[in-house]
Amino acid sequence: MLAIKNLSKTYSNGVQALNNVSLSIPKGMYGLLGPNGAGKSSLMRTIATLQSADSGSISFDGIDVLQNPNALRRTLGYLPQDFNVYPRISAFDLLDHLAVLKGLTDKKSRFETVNALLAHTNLFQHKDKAVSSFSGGMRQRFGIAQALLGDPKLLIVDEPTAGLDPEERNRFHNLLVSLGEEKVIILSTHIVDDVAELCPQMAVLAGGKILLQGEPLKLVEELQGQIWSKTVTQAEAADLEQQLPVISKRLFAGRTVLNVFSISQPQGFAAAPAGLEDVYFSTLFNSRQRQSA
Amino acid sequence: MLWQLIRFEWRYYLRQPSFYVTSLLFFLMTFFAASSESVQIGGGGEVWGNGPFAINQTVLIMSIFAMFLVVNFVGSTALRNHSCQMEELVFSKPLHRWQYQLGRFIGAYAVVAMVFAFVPLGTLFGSLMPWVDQERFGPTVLAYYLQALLLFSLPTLFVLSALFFAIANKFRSMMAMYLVAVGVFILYVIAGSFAREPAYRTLAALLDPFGLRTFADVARYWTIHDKNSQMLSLSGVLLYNRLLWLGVGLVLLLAFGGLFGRLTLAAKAVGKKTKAVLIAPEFSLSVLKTTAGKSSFWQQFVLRTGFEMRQVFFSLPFIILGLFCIFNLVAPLIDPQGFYGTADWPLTQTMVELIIESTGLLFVIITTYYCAEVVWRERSAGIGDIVDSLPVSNMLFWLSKLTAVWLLMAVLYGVFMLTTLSYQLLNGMQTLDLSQYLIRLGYFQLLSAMMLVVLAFVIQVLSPNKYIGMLIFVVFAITTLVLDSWGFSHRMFHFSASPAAPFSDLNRFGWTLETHSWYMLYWTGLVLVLFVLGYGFYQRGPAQSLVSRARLFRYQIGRSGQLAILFGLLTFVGTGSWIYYNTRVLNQFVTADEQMDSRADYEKTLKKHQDDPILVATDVKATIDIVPEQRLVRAQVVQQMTNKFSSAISKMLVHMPENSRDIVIKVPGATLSAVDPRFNTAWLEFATPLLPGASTTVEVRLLRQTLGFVDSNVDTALVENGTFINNSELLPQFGYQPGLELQDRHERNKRGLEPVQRAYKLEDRSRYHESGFGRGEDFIQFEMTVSTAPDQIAIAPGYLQKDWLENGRRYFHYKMDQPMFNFYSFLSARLAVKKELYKGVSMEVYYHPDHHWNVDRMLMSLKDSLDYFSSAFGPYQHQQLRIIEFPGYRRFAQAFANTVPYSEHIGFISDLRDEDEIDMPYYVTAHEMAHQWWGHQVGSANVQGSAVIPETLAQYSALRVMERKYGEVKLRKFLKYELDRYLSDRGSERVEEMPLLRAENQGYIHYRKGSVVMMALKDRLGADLLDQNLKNFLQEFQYKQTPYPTTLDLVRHLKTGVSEQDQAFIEDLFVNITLYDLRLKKVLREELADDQLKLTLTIHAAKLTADGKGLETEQPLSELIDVGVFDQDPDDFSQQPKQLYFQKHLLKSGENSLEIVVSKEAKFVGVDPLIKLIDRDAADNIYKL
Repeated sequence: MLAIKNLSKTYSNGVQALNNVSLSIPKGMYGLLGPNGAGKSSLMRTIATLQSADSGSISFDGIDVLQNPNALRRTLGYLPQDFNVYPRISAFDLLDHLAVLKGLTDKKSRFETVNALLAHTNLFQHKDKAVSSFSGGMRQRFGIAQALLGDPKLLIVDEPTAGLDPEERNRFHNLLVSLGEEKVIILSTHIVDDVAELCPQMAVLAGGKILLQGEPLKLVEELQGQIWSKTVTQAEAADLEQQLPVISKRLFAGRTVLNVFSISQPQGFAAAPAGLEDVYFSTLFNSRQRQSA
Repeated sequence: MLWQLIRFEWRYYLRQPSFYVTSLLFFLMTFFAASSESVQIGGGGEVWGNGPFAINQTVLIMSIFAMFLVVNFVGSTALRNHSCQMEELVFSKPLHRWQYQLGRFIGAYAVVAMVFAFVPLGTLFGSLMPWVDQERFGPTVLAYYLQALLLFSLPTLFVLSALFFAIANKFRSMMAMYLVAVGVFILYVIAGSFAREPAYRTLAALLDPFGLRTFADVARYWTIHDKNSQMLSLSGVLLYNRLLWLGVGLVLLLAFGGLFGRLTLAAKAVGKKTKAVLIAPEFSLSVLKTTAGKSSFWQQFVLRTGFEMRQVFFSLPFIILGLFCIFNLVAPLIDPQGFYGTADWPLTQTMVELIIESTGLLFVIITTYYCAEVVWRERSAGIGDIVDSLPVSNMLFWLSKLTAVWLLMAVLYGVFMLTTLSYQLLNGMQTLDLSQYLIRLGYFQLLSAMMLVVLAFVIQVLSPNKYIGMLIFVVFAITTLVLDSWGFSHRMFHFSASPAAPFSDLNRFGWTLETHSWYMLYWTGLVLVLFVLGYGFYQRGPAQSLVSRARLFRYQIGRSGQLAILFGLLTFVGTGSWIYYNTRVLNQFVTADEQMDSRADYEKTLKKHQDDPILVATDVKATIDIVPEQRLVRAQVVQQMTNKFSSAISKMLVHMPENSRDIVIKVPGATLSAVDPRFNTAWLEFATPLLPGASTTVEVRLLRQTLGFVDSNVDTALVENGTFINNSELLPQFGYQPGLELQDRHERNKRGLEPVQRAYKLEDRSRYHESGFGRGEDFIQFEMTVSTAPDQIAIAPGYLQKDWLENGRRYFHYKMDQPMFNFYSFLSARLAVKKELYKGVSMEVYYHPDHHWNVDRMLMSLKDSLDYFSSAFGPYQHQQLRIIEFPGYRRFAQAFANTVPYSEHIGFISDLRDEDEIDMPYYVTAHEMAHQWWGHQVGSANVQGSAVIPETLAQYSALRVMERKYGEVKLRKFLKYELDRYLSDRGSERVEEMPLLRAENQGYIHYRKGSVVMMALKDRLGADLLDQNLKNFLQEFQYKQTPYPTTLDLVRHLKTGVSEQDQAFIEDLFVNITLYDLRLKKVLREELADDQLKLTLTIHAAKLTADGKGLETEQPLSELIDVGVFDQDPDDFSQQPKQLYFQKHLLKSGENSLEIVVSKEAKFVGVDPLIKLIDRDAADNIYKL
């Protein structure tokens, strides 16, 4: 459905945000993982017609996005990474306002849709309050509601679950899944679990480049048997990092747990089941290794 | 710690764009004021742009604007933690409250002071620019700048900072601060109207936090010399004022600056009581799948426009601005001031002008600020990414945002219009001119403002952020102010402008609608192109570079956009060519500089002919056909002319009249050379020279009409309803015209000319046979036949012999029965007439039917004047006197023989329902009537003081008529205006102040000072002796041309039969520039028995003489001067103040002590209370008990 070919973008300050990015994204949920500053938002904004590219092309359902942005906007739902709203306007009014601009012309069905969206994002009881006075999580839900207006065929959500409590996050995931069959949904995130839970397809973006593309299940499968783990003290951890390909380091009950990516079992390490997180971290690790090499 | 806090504030602001933008703005304002002649704040004329007066004035005026600077910087400092939600972080640090608060205060104050320092810096740099005229500046003295900054700005900024810091601490809201700022401003303006009253001047000077009125009080009567060199001394009222306000500032800071106690969080606003929780109904997922249909442009457009308007309307700054403007509009209505304080009826034309003047700044602010706000609204609110990715065309955003601002402006004009309409109704105006409101505010003002909005929008769309956009727009706005002085004064260079469009109740819109429409069409073409550029480049997304937007430009505008650009360009170029053809090909266009150049060349080339003999008319027979609807005059004038001079005329310089063509000048035996286009002159060459005393016939035929339309210099004399042309405008003028010489010393100097000789020396007897009105003036026999449209009346001097209708036109034949000055005119308009026969003289007023209010007063004045003048000076020479109203494009009244044309702005529209006002129509009518004696019976010689004889004597005569009707005390109010205007105008003299005897056509001397001088004489000599002397003067020179009288003759007659002491007094008044300095310093009050009071007065007295630049020398004083006591304020006539005591006392230089006994009712004591002497400051003459 969505084909991105050789997309590159360098900002005027010299930062290369996108470096020859090519992706082919089918219908359904698509996860875009990457650390902060990887270029995820640049890519999202470019697809969402808000930014031009230096070279390359994007096409969606036969629409040349870069040449004919207006056509894409008709089927687009977009939740930017961070946003704010007009002051002093209630949730209902603002969503209704945006609905008119989305092309929901008929007053009656618009009224119903707006209310339904507010209900599904659990904002119905706050619909007469100014969005600008919402807490972070509520505002994020409002962002989700507006992105879903008009049943877009391409839904781009940039860090959608940031600031949501676990309950709201689950609710949102369910909503996405139930709406997602007939759409292309691009979910950009740095939270691996989001992708693991939702996306049959994914890519890893770092430094403006696509490092990995594929189905999470298969990618995890490929990694099985190559991840080793050990719980150590902080001092030991620093030591081991020098010697072994440590892809991740996290704390558990005050002690450091190291994950190592290796064909053979390093000494003192126990085999650990691979997860999507290990896929992600090993990819980033390999990329760093290549760069420093 | 304190120091670090100060540094933090300082560094914080150095990173804020607002710091740079405001600094630049303040700098540019004064920079342009100093370096260009088109923007003026302080200096002007002979007052140096970098002298102490100009610098102080500039700094003081700018300090009022600085209030908003303080609100911005100090306010944001005080509120920053709150608004950035940093309070919890900051307050958890180990800080002393006083350190923290004081540090921030000092830091913010330092920043404000720093920004404000750009004000004097701008003046300093401006004065040093290479292109400025060095003559307008004195030496650079840094002390002047420093003194202004130290004495005025720093203390003022401190008080303001302390005030707003305290308010911020108290209310923690920007809104409260802006409201207070506006409140302070409004109070300040209201207080200002009181401060004008002399009684409150000292109080105002003491209490003014900005120091503006303090300075005004100190420098009120500074002469040019003082203005260019006087440093202020920190003493008296200035010292007390500064100390007072520094104290107030300290108290505010200590008491309300939040320096003491602990740092605490502001209580969060407690939410409103929660309503019953809404139960969310169940919605099936399918509802969410409602797909977007075809969007409706109209629906979205209405939604967006309404939304944008609400966003602006309900924003705080807008409400404040709006209130401020309404206040600005209403303030002058509460106490309207006109000529001599007399208000006019609230005519619609005045109301419209008031709206335009008092709200002009608002529209500049709206265009600068709100265009930026509206264009960048989505970005600033943070919703840009969401809104920009919506399926809505650029056109929709662009058009709805534009429309919102357009509608806002329309609504504002509507509100202003309703305000003044209500005022008119409340004030008893019966006719409301709605169409004038709509056309002038809508078609002239709003349309032009709307185009400016498009430009501001395009600037914002192309600019990388809104601050740069605003800056570009401000630079553009300032540039338009100085364009004129760079030679681009043609309105085709001024975006969305059209030529000035004056309005007259008589002539309505006249030519202005047509001209305006062409210019508007021209600008619409350009605006259409800008419009398309605007939505083509409209920014979607945060980081779309101009290049990438340019790539999609054709996609965005589509075919219709390209067609619109083409169409716009065609319109722009097409109408542009048409305007060019009309204003520069059919008509001549010269900039002010070009005109001055040409006049300088004229003087250099032709001055040598100034004493060539010329022909002077002795008999005039004119046939004039006026075609009002075509603004056309066909004239045929046959004159008998004589060589009055002592040498033969072989050739004579001829000036062709303006706006005329097909000019034929037929003189037997003479031929006319080709016209020199530089000066529009030609030579009339005689085959055989015309000997002295010889006469000939001169026949002139011409057509006067403006072809097409012009950009400036409209022929306002020839209009559809209200034509008024005099002979010198109509006919070719003979001989060198000294009136064309440049007057301004700087302009002359630039063009290599010596300072102008404004008049010939008083002692130059060779000019005594020339009239002060010009060499070619003499007495003539006069006859005119004038025809016009059948619904108009045409009037010329002389008596109507016959009027008839012929070929659908109305003819009038006028003939004067005796010789009259060669100074005549003809008028034609649709007018109502009121006539009255009084003592054999027909008094007639011809007026615009809507301006009927004061016709009876004018008739009354004519009758009273006739009575007084004919008994005091001699009989009136005509059997008729006519007053005729003409359109207000020109504002004067002028006395022709038995005919006085009167501008609609003078007298006809004065509102005299308040008995307290000076009766302007009565006074002006008496003055013009007096010219039938002074001017028409007695002329004056072409030397210094030539205007004194007609004007000063007409002022005196009119004041006597006024005095007889309204009493001596009421005259005080008039004389106070006269004295005040004399004293302040002499401060802006451009060349040199002359004594009355030698006044060189200086209005402030021959009118203003003349009034005071003549009334002082009347007081000293008594009216009978003075009138007798004037009568003798008149009789000696009545209808005499060889020689004409001079002021020497006048003074000779005035001195006849008066004591030696009074002769010295006359010398003081006429020959010297004499000023008195009388001050009632102290009054001790002691109650006596039987309801009496003993008053002990301490009076300071001095007499000074001044030179032409205002340098004063003290002279010994020993004179009898009035001391008066009143039971009411002598300025308040409605109270009818009684004189309880009025006696002359001998006052000598220095302190004088007097004791007087008066009745207990005494409330006001004054020295020279009725303003008979020229006192440097009449405000300190009256003392309230």
